[in-house]
Amino acid sequence: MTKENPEEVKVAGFRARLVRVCVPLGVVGLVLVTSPWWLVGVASVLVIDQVSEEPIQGPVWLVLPSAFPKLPEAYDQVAELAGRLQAEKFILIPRVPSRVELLGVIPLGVDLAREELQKRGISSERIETLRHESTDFWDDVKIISGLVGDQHVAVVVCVGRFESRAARYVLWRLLRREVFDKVGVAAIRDPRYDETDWWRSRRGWKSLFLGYASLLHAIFLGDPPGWRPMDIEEYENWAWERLLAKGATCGGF
Amino acid sequence: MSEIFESHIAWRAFQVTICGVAIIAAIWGLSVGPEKWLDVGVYPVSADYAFVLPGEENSRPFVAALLFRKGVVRGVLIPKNAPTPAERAKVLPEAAEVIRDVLLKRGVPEDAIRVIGSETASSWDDLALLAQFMRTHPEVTVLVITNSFHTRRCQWILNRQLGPEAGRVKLVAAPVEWYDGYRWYESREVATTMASEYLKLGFYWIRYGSGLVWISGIVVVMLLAFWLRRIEVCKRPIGEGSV
Repeated sequence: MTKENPEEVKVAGFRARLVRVCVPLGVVGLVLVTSPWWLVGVASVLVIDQVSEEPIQGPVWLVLPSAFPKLPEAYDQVAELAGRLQAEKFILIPRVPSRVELLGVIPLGVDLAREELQKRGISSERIETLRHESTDFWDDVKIISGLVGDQHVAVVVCVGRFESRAARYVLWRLLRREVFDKVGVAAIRDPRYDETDWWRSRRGWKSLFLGYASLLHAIFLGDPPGWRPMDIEEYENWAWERLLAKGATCGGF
Repeated sequence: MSEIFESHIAWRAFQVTICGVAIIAAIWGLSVGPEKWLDVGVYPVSADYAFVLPGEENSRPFVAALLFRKGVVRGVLIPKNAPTPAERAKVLPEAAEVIRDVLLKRGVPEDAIRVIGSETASSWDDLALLAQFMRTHPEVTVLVITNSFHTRRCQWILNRQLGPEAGRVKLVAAPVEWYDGYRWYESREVATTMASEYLKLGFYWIRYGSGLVWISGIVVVMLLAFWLRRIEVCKRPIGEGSV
């Protein structure tokens, strides 16, 4: 019998250890990846619903930010929330109008929200549309900051469910401590998915991805530079120039 | 890790390969740009129809109307999508209706607009509809109007749907002010859209392409190589190959 090579024994031993570690790890990984509770946990990180947890004292204002989801079920939830909290006022923050809105093809977000809330029995006097147009949620929060100021009210900002954690983070970043303490977040559910079944729909996957992207961007990069859409003529001129810049090198059909 | 490799040279070659790939990826990411790689849109040449893909209605129908007014296309095709919950509840008009209204208001006459198909739900379905239309109209040429980040996936779908007939279709990228002209690290919208598009490309490759076959093949080959290697090590008499 020849003498054992220590190098070879070391390599064989390492491989055996690798197999012993990797196989159980692989099995555990597979169980984790295919288990709903783990998938629920992934999405739950993004959700914070302060309204369902704590009762609110005093007058309550509900704020619909400029990118509030345009879903009938979302307005149902806002109306239900308003009844439960006995909300005094609804604040609508307008978004800078898009070209399709400027053209009158779809209604402005705030007009749509007002109409949908009125359909659900909320009187027009209780709905206030702000004048300042916002470009993104960071802009919304700056507006909320000015709005709340020293008033003795509780403010509930209604946002999409998977954006609620990012929204809470932005509120924390931008608001003064005394204003921040008055503001809570309501996570509005999408009828097509929530944290218990997001992996079953394409929309759920997309929403989860965007929720994480918003949160990570807010944490690491902060306030993004807002952009305003060009008006129609300006856009078409710009688009034509960019198309011509491609150069007619590819020929025709 | 170095224990896995039999010799010092193999371990060093592995290290050099990993470093090389990382350097090339970094150069590509910062200079050429992964966001630019997605754009395979071309100069708008004269065609029979513009096919406006639903989504990003603030740019695509406006460019289609522009191409019509400039005489680049003779008509516009719109696929009809399955309604979203907001559309079903009449909170918002349907996407095809929005596109049609924009076209009408931007100077495209009603008889030049055709809404085709029904209830499509993805880019794959929309372009399958176009492929079907092109098979029934063998002489027709089409410009597909979408956004730059979406053009590579559309080109891939068209190649699979139409094969050699894909030459009758060209992709025109309707620019958007929040994407075009920015690098991926300069804007959240660009970074998110780009990352999402790469994920979708991967998904499409697996779902509609040969991705699953390739991945399964690679896994099988790796397992086989690992198994053969183990057999070889087990058969080798103790001490063989000692220095």
